[in-house]
Amino acid sequence: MNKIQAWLQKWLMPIATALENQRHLQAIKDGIVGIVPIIIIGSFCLVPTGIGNLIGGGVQEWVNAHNSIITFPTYFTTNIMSLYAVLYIANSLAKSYDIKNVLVGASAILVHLLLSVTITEEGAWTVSYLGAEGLFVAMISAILAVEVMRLCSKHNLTIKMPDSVPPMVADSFSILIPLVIDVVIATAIATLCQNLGGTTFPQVIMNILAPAISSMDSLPAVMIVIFITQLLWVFGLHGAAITSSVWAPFAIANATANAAAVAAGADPTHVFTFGFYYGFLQVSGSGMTLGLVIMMMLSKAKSLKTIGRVGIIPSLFGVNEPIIFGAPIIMNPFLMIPFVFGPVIVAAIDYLAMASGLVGLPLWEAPGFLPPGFQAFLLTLDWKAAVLAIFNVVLMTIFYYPFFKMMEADELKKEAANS
Amino acid sequence: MKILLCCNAGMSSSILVKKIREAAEKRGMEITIQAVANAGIKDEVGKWDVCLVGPQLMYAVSNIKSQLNIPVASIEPRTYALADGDKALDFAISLIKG
Repeated sequence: MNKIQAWLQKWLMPIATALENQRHLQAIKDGIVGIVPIIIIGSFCLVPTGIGNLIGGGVQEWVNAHNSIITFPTYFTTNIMSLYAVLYIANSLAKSYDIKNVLVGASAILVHLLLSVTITEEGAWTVSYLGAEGLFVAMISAILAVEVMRLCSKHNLTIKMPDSVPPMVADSFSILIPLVIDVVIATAIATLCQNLGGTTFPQVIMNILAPAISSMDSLPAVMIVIFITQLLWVFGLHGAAITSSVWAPFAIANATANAAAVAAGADPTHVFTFGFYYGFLQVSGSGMTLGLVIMMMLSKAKSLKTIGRVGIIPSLFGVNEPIIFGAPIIMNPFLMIPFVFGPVIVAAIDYLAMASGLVGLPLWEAPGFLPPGFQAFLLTLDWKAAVLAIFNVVLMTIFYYPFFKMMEADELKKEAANS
Repeated sequence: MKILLCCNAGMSSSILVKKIREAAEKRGMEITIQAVANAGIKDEVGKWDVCLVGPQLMYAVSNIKSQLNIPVASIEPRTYALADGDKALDFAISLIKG
């Protein structure tokens, strides 16, 4: 066991550290996850429509009559989501480079608008690519703007002001040359796409990424993601924090696409959204450990009882580090088996339940860190989804039970020997 | 003494914040303590004496250390699990003393 641990520590830790130190990936992850509140607000404005459809009759009529007011904010939240993302990603990347210029975020917005918005003959903006389809372009725009800024200051391609000039004024001069470069590059790309390809840059990116997006929202992908997440936790590493730098952009783009479909009166099409991951596959924390916590609370083994009591309240709200480090699940020969493989089975069941239409798909994003079933219901407005989330916890409890009993017997033996 | 705690979302480490504060009060120590998310660590430069990291982010310790330039270490898993304020406080003090 120690050999395996040492070997995996030797190989896993450097990978986790390398991912953590890859600043572009981290900036994208932080930026994309950072805008979830904006998506949630946009989603709230769609909830009345969902409830209207659910209840029907007078409620539905009332909602439909006032729909243009109720859903007004969605045009400025979910529908132009990537505009917030580009700002957030650029700021977080700039921060990692210690770029202090306050205008770097604005330069990223400019690049993003140049790349994503088209102007009609009448001069009106077409902003349809600022939504979910624009999220991947937002990553490119943010990286381009920040890297141009960084390279310019590295090679002294900035207009420097004397130190006595106030920083705000100095910033606005030092961004001038980077801005010229940004505008030239972005305009060139946008024009090339339109004149040569008769398309837009976001469409080109979507075409390139289409296979990745559709393979990411599939049963094997969900199972692999959850397997790796759980496995990392067994070695004490925050699984979701590490793996989400790869899947979160896709999951959030999927959620935004679902919300856009709902807003347009169509059905959502994606299963693997950010909310699906947290509201179904991580209910009560990684490994869906609520049942395990309750068994620990009721255990005759003193050490397990203590941890169970510490862990129960945070567990109800999706925080289970006390259990993972306290039980402990880390490198625990008993618990690691259900902890790693149980969620993979649960993920398969949940994915198939949704893909087959048995349970409603995520309509949008909803707040997390809630007791089991709440986020699932808010995500889907389907009571069957809440039941499914609770079923996940119950099923996991059954998986944990025999392994827990073995661990408990072991623990009791130790306690008897010590007394 | 100013202690910064850091975990992925700043949630699980916030459980420990209260316990460390209680332990310090019992000892009559004056401390400032706060839990933050790893993503916000850049904003904490120059504000703290020591940073304790949740064991689940031990892979991030070197990165956090290079940014904060103060003693940074991951908390012993069991101390973290039990939210043992006394032990965590001792650990923070030992880190500062080097």
